[in-house]
Parts: sequence; C-alpha cells; structure tokens
Amino acid sequence: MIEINYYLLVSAVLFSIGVIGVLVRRNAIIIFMCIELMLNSINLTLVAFSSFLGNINGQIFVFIVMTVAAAEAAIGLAIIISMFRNKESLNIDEINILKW
Amino acid sequence: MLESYIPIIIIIVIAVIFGIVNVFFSSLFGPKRPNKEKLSTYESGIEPIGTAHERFSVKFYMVAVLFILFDIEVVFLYPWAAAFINLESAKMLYSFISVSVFIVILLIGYIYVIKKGALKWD
Amino acid sequence: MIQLHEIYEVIPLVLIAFAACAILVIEAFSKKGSSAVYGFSIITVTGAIAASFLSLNKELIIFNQFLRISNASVMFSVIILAGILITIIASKNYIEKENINFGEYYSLILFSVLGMMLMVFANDLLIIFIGLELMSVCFYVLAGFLRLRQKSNESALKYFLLGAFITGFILYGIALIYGISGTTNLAELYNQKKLFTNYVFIIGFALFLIGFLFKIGVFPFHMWIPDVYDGAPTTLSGMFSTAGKIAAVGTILPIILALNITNFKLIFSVAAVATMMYGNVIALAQSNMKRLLAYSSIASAGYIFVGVAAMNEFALKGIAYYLIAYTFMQLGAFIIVSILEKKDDGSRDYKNVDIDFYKGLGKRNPLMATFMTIFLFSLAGIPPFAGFWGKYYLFYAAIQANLIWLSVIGILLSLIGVYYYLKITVYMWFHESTDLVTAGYEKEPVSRSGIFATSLAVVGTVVLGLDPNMFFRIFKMIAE
Repeated sequence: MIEINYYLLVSAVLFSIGVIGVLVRRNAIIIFMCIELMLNSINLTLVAFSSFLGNINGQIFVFIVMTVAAAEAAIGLAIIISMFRNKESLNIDEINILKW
Repeated sequence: MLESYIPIIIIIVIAVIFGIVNVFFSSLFGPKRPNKEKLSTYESGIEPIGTAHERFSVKFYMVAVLFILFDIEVVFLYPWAAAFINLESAKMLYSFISVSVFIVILLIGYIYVIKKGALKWD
Repeated sequence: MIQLHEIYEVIPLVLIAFAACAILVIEAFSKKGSSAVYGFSIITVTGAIAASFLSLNKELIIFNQFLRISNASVMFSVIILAGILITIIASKNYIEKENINFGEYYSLILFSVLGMMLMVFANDLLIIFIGLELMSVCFYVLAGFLRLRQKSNESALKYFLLGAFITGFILYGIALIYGISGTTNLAELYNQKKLFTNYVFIIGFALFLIGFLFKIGVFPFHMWIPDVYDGAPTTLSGMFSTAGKIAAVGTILPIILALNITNFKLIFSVAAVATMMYGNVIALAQSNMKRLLAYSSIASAGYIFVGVAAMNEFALKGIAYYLIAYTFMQLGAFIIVSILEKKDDGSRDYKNVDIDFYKGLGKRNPLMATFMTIFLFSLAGIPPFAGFWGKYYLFYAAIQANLIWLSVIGILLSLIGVYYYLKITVYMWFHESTDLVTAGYEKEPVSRSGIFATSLAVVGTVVLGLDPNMFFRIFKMIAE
C-alpha cells in the first residue's frame, strides 16, 4: 500500500510541470497541452483523496472534470484553428495587436 | 522498502549500456555503401510523394473535435450502466429517465451537427 | 432522489436551458430564423426574471443538496438576467451590422446565463465548477464570434488560454479543500470548525479564491480584461463586464461571508486599493473607448472589493446596490459604443471606437450623447445618478468596518476617475467634430431596438439614483 503523500507529491509535481510549461512555451497548442496536463494532475489528486477518505464524491468529480476538459479542448482547438486561418501563426509572441 | 528497487535499477543500467554499445560499435565497424534507393524514405515499397510535414485539411480537425465531444460522454454512461442492474425497481425508472434526459440533450447537439453539415466530407 | 416539486423551484433555470437547446434546433432547421430566435430569447429571459420572483423568501436546499435557493442568490440572478435582457435587446442591430447574424449567438448567451445562474444557486463546489465552466466556455466562443476579425480571434485566444489556466488553479483548490474537509458540499463545509488552522486548506481556499479574483478582474489578475474587452464584439464586452463579473461576485461573496475569514481583510483591502489605482490611472491614458471602459470596469472591481474587505451587513447591501447600478451604467455605455460603431466594411477592424470620434457627438446625435453623458456621470459617481449611491454605500460600509484609510484612498482614487469620464463628456458637447472620422456616419440612423435597450439602462440609472432604496423596497414588496 502506497501512502497518499506519494500520490499527492506526483500530482503536485505534474501540476507544476504544467504551470511551468504554460509560462515558458510559446506555441498555443503546446500551452494548451500543458493546461490539460494540469487538469489531469488534479484528477490524480482527487482520486487519491477519494480513495484515502473512502468517499466516492472525488471520483464523480473526476468524471465531470474529464468531460469539461474535453469540451474545453474542442472549443480551444476551434479557436486556435480560426486564429491560424487569419494569422498563419500560433506563436503567442506574434499575437500582439491588442495592447495598451 | 526502497531496497526492492535495486534489481530494477541494475536492469535499467545494463539495458542502457547494452543499447549504447551496440549502436555505437555497429556504426563504427559496419560497412557503409549508400545509394539513392537506400537513402529514400521507406513507404511500403511505393514511390514517396512530397514531404512528411504536410498540412492536413481542416476537416480532420472538425471530425476530431466532434469525436472528442461525443466520445467522452460515455464516461457518464458506463458507471450508470454498471450500477443500473443493482437498483431496486422503483429507482430504475427514475434513473432511466435521468439518463434519457442526458441522451436527449446530446441528441440535440448531434442533430445540430448533422444539420449544419459539420460531418460532410466534401 | 429529486422530487418533482423541486423542479418548480428552479423554473428560471429550466426555462433558459430549454430555450437554449430549442434555439439550436431552430437554427439547425431554418435558414433564416434569426429574428424569430431574437424574440424567443427576449421572451425567455423576461419569463425567467418573472419566474425568479416566485422563489423569493424561501430558504431551500434542493436537488440532493446541490442547489440552494435564498434571497441573496435570487437577487443576484435577477441582476444577471436584467443585464442579459438589455444585452440581447441591443444585440440584434449590432450583429446584423457586423454580419454575424446567427442564432448560435443567442443560444450561447443563454447557455452562459445558465452557467451563471447555476453558480449563484450552487450549494456544492461541483456545481460551482460546472457553472463556471459553462459560463467561461460560452464566453470564449462569444469573444471570438467575429471570426474574420483578427482582434476578435486574438481576444478569444487570450481569454481561452488564460481562463483555462486559471480553471486549473480553481480545480486544484477544490481538490485540496475536498481532501481536507472530506466534502464538496458548501453547507457541510461551513459547519466544520477549525478548517482555517489547516494550512493545506488555506492554500486550497487561496487557489480557489485566485480563480474568482481572476474572473472578477482584481489587481494582480486583471491583465486579460482590456485585451479581451477590446477585441470581443462590443455588446458582448458589455455582457462580460457586467453579467460575468456579477456571477463571480455572487458566487464568492456568500462563501467569504459564511467562512468569515477576518484574516483576509487586509489582503482584500490591499487588492481593492491596487485595483482601483490601476484601473483609474491607466484609464487616463486610453484613446480607445472600449479599452477605457474596460479599465473603468477594473476600477469598479476595486470598489466592489472595498465592500468585500468591509465584510459587514452594510457591505452586502452596498455590493448588491452597486452591482445593479453598475449593470445599467456600464452595459449602457458599452451598448452606445456598439450603436455608434461603424458598419462592417470588410476592413477587419473596429471603426469609430476612438475617443476622438466622440468629439462633437452632442451636435450629431444629441440623444445618444445625452444617454452617454448620463452613463459616464453615473460611472464617475456624480450625485443624482445610481453610481454615486453605489460608491457611497460601499465606502460607508468600509467606514463602519473601521477601514477609514481604505475609504479615504478609495474616494481619492475615484476622483481621478472623474477626470477621464468628464473628458469624454467635454469632447461630446464642447468640441467640434473632426470631419475625417465622421465621414459616412450621418447615413446610419440609430435603430429602435438600440434606443429601447439604452433607454432601459438610462431609466435604471436615473430612477435608482433618485430613489436609492427603491430597489430593495421593490424586492421586499414582492417577497411579501
């Protein structure tokens, strides 16, 4: 039996990797993938807590998070495609007509 | 507890060394007689056309996006189907109606997708 | 199990969900059904407002303890619906002008309202999350609704990436709260003592709070607001800045009050000061009307947080009053900008949104200039209008909570705000219009739906200002 701390540690590390990825990467798709990584690390946290507490709520929450993540992925890809059609680039440093 | 991982670490080390040694020495001693046929991309014996980094049609994205949306809903149906058989009969109707509402909402989305022609290929 | 009678308590939600789905089907089957859809959505929202009043004076926890009906949540949902009603009425002319006359526009607005109302009615972190995501996902799409326009695309992409990023933080916060307290139910959460002695819970709650501060646009998390509001279709910028913010405030405020976190008082005060300062000072340098209003909405978030920092009963009343006043004046100002905006000529940019365009508006279009003046005076907090009383209540609450320094700083910072609101008023009435920008303007008469929507907002601003207690009185009267 592995202690809950290890699960929490892994998910915290994954979450941090996701956050760092969002902050340092410059391609919109890769940033989006890092966000998905964050959401999945949270799923791990929820499942770990759920099994630790012997309480099913956390796992139900995971189902909802997965569905919402899928909806977000669909919307995000659509937005990225419409951006690409107009701009021919996904580098977020070049997406800069809105400032000040 | 951590001692039990030692054999695994030994195997990993051996595997890495084995791989590196083999690749390194075969590239060092192996004969090299390249020709045009050998250097070309292998595509199951068919003449390669263009580069591998081609742009895909946006239709693939459309199908992929719709697939994600309608595929993930099974997440809710699976636990429901597994739990349904164990329900008492009074709750069976209730849970069936609940899921039917869910399916109807999905169906509205599906009708919308079909009518808007998002799944038409040409 | 859900009892059938519980559905009667949530008629507004059911009505809106049904209408949003129905519009999708109508849109799928008819080629040109948009004007029918327009009327249908107005009727739905009006019906939902009327039905909301049925749930007044009930303290109920329904739907397997997922939803909670209380007077505060009904009030917030009525404010949101009022904002949405004005937005929808004003939208028709605008989306025809911009060539985006699709039924999905109304459907997405209704779905986002559904999310907002779920949020304010929520009694469970799960429902808050679903509502928040339903709202945000619709907002991402709506921000990019002008899909041929690069600004709109960019605003949608920025909103999406930042919003999804913040969603991760909210969720992580919820996961930690769940792990420590063992429940996602808010009522059970409030009953647990000594939660705030656990530092993991504090981290979790802080992450959760950060997400909502982002949605409201409080200082360190405000950077997306000007970009998104500038790029999004103008009527929708108005909706994001009113209904979206109100939903976030209406969700987080009861939680803050119920948990009674006095330790956070200083943090909220500092955030309020920083937000007011940032919004008001940067707005001085703006030359684009949409960006100026966006910064003014950041400043308004600061005023709201003066009330949140005060955390007493005056504050709750003050915030509710300020939110309803803010809905009318901010939305009204955005709608006037959308009415005066030039017709889409394929140039892929918003035309006639610069401040210079407003020079001499008083001569060209006296009605719109008068309305705009009323909204700007109200936003600046000049007495006969609603905005003044909103600020007055909030600063009064802060004084009652012994935060005199906060209200003094707040009043000084709102005086900075008066400058840029008055600058536009002076431009409208005392400057000559420049020929270059006004060319081609005269030919476009203001549509009747636009006049109707702005008149509603003007009536709200003026009447609430003349009789500040009326809102609460009406509410009480209907409740009895």
